Amino acid sequence: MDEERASTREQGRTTRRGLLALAGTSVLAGCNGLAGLGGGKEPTIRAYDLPDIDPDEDREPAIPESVPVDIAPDHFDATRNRVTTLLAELPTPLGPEDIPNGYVRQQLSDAATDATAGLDDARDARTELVALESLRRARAEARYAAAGWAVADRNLSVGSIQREYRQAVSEARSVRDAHEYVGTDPVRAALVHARIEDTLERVIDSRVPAQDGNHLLYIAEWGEEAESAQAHLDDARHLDEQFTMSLPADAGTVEETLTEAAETLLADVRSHRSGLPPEPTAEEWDIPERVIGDLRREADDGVARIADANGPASAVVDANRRLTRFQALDRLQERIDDGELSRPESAEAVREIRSTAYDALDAALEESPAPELTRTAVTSAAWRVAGADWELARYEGEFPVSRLDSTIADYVIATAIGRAAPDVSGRTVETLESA
Amino acid sequence: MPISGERCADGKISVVFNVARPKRPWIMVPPTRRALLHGAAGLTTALAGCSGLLDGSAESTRTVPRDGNDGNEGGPGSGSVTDPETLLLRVDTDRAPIWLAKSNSEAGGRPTASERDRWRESIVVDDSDRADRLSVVDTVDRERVESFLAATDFTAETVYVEMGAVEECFRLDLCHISWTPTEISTDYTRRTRSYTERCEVDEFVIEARLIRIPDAIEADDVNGYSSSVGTGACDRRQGRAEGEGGADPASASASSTRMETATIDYGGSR
Repeated sequence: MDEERASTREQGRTTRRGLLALAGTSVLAGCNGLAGLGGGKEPTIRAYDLPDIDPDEDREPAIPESVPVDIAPDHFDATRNRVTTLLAELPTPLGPEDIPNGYVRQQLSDAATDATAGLDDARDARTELVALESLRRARAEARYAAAGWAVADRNLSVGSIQREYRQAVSEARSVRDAHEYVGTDPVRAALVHARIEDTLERVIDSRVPAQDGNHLLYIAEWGEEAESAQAHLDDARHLDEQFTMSLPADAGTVEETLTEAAETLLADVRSHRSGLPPEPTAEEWDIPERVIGDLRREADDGVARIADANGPASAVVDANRRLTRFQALDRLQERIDDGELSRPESAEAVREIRSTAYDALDAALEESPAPELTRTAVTSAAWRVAGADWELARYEGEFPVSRLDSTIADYVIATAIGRAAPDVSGRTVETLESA
Repeated sequence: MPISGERCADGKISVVFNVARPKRPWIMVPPTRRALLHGAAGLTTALAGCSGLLDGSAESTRTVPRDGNDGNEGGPGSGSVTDPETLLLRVDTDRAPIWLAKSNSEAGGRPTASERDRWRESIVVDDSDRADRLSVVDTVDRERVESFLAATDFTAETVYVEMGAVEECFRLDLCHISWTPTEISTDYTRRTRSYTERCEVDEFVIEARLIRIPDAIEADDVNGYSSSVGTGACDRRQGRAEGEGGADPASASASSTRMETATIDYGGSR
C-alpha cells in the first residue's frame, strides 16, 4: 500500500502507461471522448494526468479483512496439503484424450490453475484471515477439477458427494447449536464469534448446484460445493478452538453481553433507518445523488433484529457497520447542503480526492479506540476504493470530467466512511462494555 | 485477481462492470476466477441465462388467440408451444445450410458467408410450393428434410426454419416457440455437450432447425423474428410475441429468474 500511495503522489513522471495514454489521445482521437470535447462547456481531463495506476495490477483493498485470533501453522499446512492432494489426482496436462470436449476440459484446467494461484495468493496474503480465505477457495477449485476428472476417469457418481455435503451441513448446524460464546473482552469476542457465525452460516445456507445438462460439470460443481462446505466448517471449528485456547481457563460466556449490546445497537439502527432520506429522484445522478444513493443503500442493507442475523456477534458487527454508514451519510448530506461537494475540474483535484480517501481509511484504524472493530466497518469501503482505482486505470485520452462521476463518488463515500468509523466504533465499544 | 475486465473503445467502462464488479465484496462474495471467466464468456457470446431453478421437464401448452380459436384451428392466430416437432441439423459450415431457392427449377441462391459473428436466419414455409424451393447443402441429409416437410399439413401447420451459429462445445435446446400472424419468437437454452464429444473452444458450427408450428401462418405476413438464448433450465413460461394475443399469464407453469438474457431481432427470408 505504501508503494501504491507513493506512486499516487508521483506527479509529472512520464511512465509507460502515461506514454501509452498520450499515444491513445492522438491515435484514438476519432472515437475517444470527443462527445465532450470542444462544443460543450464541461471541462475535460486527460487520462495521462490522472493518478498513475497500473491497469494490469491486481487490485486489493488498502484495509484487508482480519480476525483477532492466530491461525495455527498446522491448519494452513493441512489445507495446503488437501489442495495439492486433490490437484495430484489430475493428469498433467489435461488433454483431448482425457476430456475430448474442449470447453469442459478448459473448465477443469482453469479450476486447477485457480487452485494453484490460490496457494500463491495465500502465501502473499497480508493477513492470516485473507490467507485462510484464499486457501478455502483453492480447496473448492481443486475439488471441482478433481471431481470432474473423476467422472471421466472412474465414473464418479454424484451420490457420494451429495452425502458428504449433507454431512457437512448437518455438522455445521450441530456446531452452531452447541456454540458457546466464550470470551473476556467483549469487543474481541464479538469479532471472533461473528466470523464463526458467518462461516457456519455459509455452510448451512449454501446453494446446491443446478443440473444444467452436463453430467461431468454438474458433479464437478457438487464437488466444489461439498469441499467448500467442509472447508468452511473446518475453519469455523479452528477459529473457535484457537480463540478458546487463547483465553484464560476460567473465561466465561459473553453471550448475554453480546445479545444485549446487539439489541441496543439494532434499536439505534432502526431509529436511524426510519430517518433515512428518500432515494434521490433526479433523472440524472451527479456526484451528490450517487453518493447519497449508494451510501443510503449500504446503510439500509442489513438485519433489523437479532433473530434475522447469523447470531448476536454478527448482529453487533453489522450494526456497527451500518451505524458508520448512517453517520457518514449525515456528514455527507451536510457537505452537500453547504455546497461543498462538487465535481472536480482538474486531474489534480481527482488525485487529491483519491489521496484523501486513502488517508481517511488509514486514519480510521489509527484513530480508532478499537481498530479491529473499525476494520470490519471500513473494509468494504477499501474495496470500493480498489474498484475506483481499477476504473481510473482504464481511462484513456481526453474526456469530459463527468465521466468520472461514479469513480469520484466511490472515493468520496470511502472517505466519509473512514472519517465516521472511529467515533462509531467508540460508541459500539461503550455499548459492549456497559451491556 | 480481485478486479479485472476490459476497456470500452470510448473510454467508458460500464460494459465489463458486471463481470468485474462482482469481485467487490460489498456487492457479493467474490466469485472464483473460473466463474468470472464463465461469466465473461457468457456475456461475450450473448448467451444468457436462466437460473436453473426449474427441473427442465418438457411441457406443452397452447394459448388461445384473441379471436377465441385454438391456434390449430380456424385460421392463423397466436400461440406458443414448448415441445414442437423439430428436426435439428448441426452443420460444420460458415453460412446458411438451408435456403430458399429463387424458383423450383433454380437451386442457386445460397447466402454467402456472413461476416457477423452471431447471425441468425429464418425461413417460413407455409405451403408445398415453398417447401419445394427449400434447398439444402450437400452435407445435410436431404431425405430427412424432405420427410419432415412432407409430413407437414400446410393447411393447419407451418414449418419455421431457424439457423444460427453455436459454439462447437455447446448445443441449443429449444424451450418454446411463440407466434402471431406477423411475428415469430423462439427461446433457447444453451447446454454444454457431453465431455466425451470432441470439440474445440472458439470453434463454431451451424444449428439449423425445422420447427413445425401447429398453426397456419402466412409467410408473407410475417415481418418480425426474434430469438433469446439463456442457460440453465428452460423457462417453461410461454413466450409472448409482441403485438397480438400472446400467452395467457395464467398458463405460466412455473417461474424462474433470468440472470442474463440476450434477445436477437433479425430478418428472415421470404
